[in-house]
Amino acid sequence: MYGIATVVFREIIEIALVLGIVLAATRGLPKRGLLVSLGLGLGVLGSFIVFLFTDTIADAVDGMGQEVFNACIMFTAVGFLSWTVIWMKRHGRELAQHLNAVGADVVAGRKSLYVIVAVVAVASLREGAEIVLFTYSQSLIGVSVYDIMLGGLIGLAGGVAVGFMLYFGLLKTVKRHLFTVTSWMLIVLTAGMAAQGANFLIQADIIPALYPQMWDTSAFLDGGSFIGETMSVLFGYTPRPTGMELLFYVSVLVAVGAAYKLIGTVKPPKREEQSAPVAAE
Amino acid sequence: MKKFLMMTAVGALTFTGFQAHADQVANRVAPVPAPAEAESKAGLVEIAPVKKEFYEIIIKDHKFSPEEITVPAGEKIKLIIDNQDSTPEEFESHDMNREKIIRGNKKATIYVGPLEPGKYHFFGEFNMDTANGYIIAK
Repeated sequence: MYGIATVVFREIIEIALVLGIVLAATRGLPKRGLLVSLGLGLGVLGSFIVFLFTDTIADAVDGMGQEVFNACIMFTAVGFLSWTVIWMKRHGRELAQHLNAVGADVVAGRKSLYVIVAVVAVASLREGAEIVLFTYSQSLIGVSVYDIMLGGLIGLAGGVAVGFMLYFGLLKTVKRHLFTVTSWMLIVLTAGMAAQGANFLIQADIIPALYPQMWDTSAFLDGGSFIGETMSVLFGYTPRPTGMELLFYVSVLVAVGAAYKLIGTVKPPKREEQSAPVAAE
Repeated sequence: MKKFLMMTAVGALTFTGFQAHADQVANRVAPVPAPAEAESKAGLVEIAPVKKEFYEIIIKDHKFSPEEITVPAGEKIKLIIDNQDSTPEEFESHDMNREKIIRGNKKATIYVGPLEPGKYHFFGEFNMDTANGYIIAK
């Protein structure tokens, strides 16, 4: 049972840390709770669908379907997260000034808010599918449903607790610059996801590693430790990165970071002119 | 190169703790593949690391066999993981930054490296208590 709790916990914290930052970054967004719940619901549903297609995915692309699928999820998440960061920059201040939900809805244009649903769904899909597969495999080896449920719930509760600690920790410690701090955290996290996506393609031998090992920091921070895994989710930490991972990491960091810096905020008074170009900062 | 060697060694030490430290020192002093006679017959363990087309690791009863394979450093290695259990397993390694689910009674291919010389831990995430192994790059 504790073994189950540990595995589920390790998978859940990957989702929970991403969600903790997304929630902090989108604080004040109208109907945020509903959007995040909808995203989580779709993520869970998607996890079961992915699980059902485990065989199909695994056999695709000459047995490298899993890597290609994981890389696709990573790159999709990179796209949605970048979009969220830039969209929040454009509309965040505006939203903050129209804190009542109806007013803010009008300001932001509701459709754009659905990017939050997509971010949450994609962020929970991959690890979610692994949890389903893992608990299924436990039932195959004769672990009782009771132990699986209890272990799963303990792991889930632990992971969710870590996510909330990050969320409330952020709200408490960075009050004034919460939006800027969480935006940069999301940008760094996105860069890490891009590197991870690239790594899946290297594992499948689809793209080259370019350089096998840029450096080795495993002596200082082991990638398998709790801190190492947390740093891996938050900053894309990996003790022995390849040249290709570094290239993806830096490219996304620079591209999304520059877009974030350069794209202006929509001025609050001009509520109807969302598309009007605004001078860079 | 020396620096890399040192760092990899220190990394492996931190990761695997004291027990592995003793193992590693023992390996350095006397690189005898003693516990692996059975496997060496099948060509799975080699003293001189000449690159092979692929390296096969079997999962049976939630354990890897062999639990240690030696590969040449600086070469891209093709691993074939043969899961003979009926349950899925996730081959995972933080040291080599790899993860792949291998379904029950199926084989899967994973490319690793090129690796710097050193000892790299891998494990089965779904059975971490029993499924552990090392790739030694020389």
